[in-house]
Amino acid sequence: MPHMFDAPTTAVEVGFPADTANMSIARTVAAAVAARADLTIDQIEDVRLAVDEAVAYVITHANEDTRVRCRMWVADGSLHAVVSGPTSAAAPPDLAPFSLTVLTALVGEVDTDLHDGDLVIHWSLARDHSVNA
Amino acid sequence: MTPASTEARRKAEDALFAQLTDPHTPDEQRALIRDELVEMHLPLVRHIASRYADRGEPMDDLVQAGSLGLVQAVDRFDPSRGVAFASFAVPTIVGAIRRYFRDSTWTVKVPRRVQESRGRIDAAHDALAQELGRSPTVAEIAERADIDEQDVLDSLELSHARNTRSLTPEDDDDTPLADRLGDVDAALSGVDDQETVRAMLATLPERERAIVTMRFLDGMSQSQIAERVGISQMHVSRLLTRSLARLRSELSD
Repeated sequence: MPHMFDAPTTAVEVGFPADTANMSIARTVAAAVAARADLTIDQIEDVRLAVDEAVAYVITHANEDTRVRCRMWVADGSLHAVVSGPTSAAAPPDLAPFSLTVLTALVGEVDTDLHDGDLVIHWSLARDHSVNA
Repeated sequence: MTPASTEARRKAEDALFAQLTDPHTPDEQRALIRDELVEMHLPLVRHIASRYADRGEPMDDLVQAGSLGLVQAVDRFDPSRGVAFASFAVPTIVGAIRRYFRDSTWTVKVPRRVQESRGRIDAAHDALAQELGRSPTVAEIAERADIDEQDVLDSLELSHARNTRSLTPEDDDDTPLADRLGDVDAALSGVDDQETVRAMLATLPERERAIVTMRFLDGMSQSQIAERVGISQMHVSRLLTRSLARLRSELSD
């Protein structure tokens, strides 16, 4: 699974305190990245929602007073997003059932992992324009 | 939720869809089945609606818009395709909520040129969607509407902030995390069975039960609840935190 540290230098990154008030900032950056990746309007909106779910997941399980980092990049015709934050969890917690349903419906594969004390969640969305919303 | 109960739910759902799509099923029964399928999946609608909760629109309206999408999904679902209904329904529910935002009026103050562009952008979007048979890209809209790509993106961004309240984070520091995420899931994780939720809420004292219901099922804010119940917002916050903790420990038994 791709990690923060595997992200190419072309990746866009936004970091912010692990607080729900900052989720709209992550969505805005995600939409800008998706637009530059030439995704359709519907896909951009899906990306907003998917980043929202990923950030919510990390904020829920992250340690207090830490920062969340969100990196996004395009590779292999797909938009990749990795969100991470420091955690003391021993294993990646399960995603809430509805979050998993929403994510897999909108962006397909979702992976979670622990890496050097960070909880990491990754998803990717194919850029294929021929897919009808 | 155990794998056994998920399996049981799935089977019940499959049976309902089988009846719904059977041409021999009488109309009145069809209506009842549709209602039951919609009711079963309302928690999913609430979850999705809660992802839009911080944009200044009442939760009730978002849930209602999402429910319309759910009804459409129930009517369109083809069980023989082998896809889980919940996954199938997500884009339709999401689309219905987006349409709600798109059709409602902006109350946030935007520069005049942005307001004027919005009309052209919407027209270009609709025309292109029709011609291409898919959602257009920002570049395509910019070209058709003869507007800068960044302005198209700005317009898209502003359409997510319906009023100034959604542009400023709420000063609700004592709100429990689950509360702010507006997600019943975080508090009642793994339980999406209505009966179980109702049974659990029944374990709470009457006032706490009313407050949790108002917060998570009716989507009221803490201040609104405080006003309704006649106590301070801080008190509502404490009662919610206590109730959620109690429900969580109930769940882990």
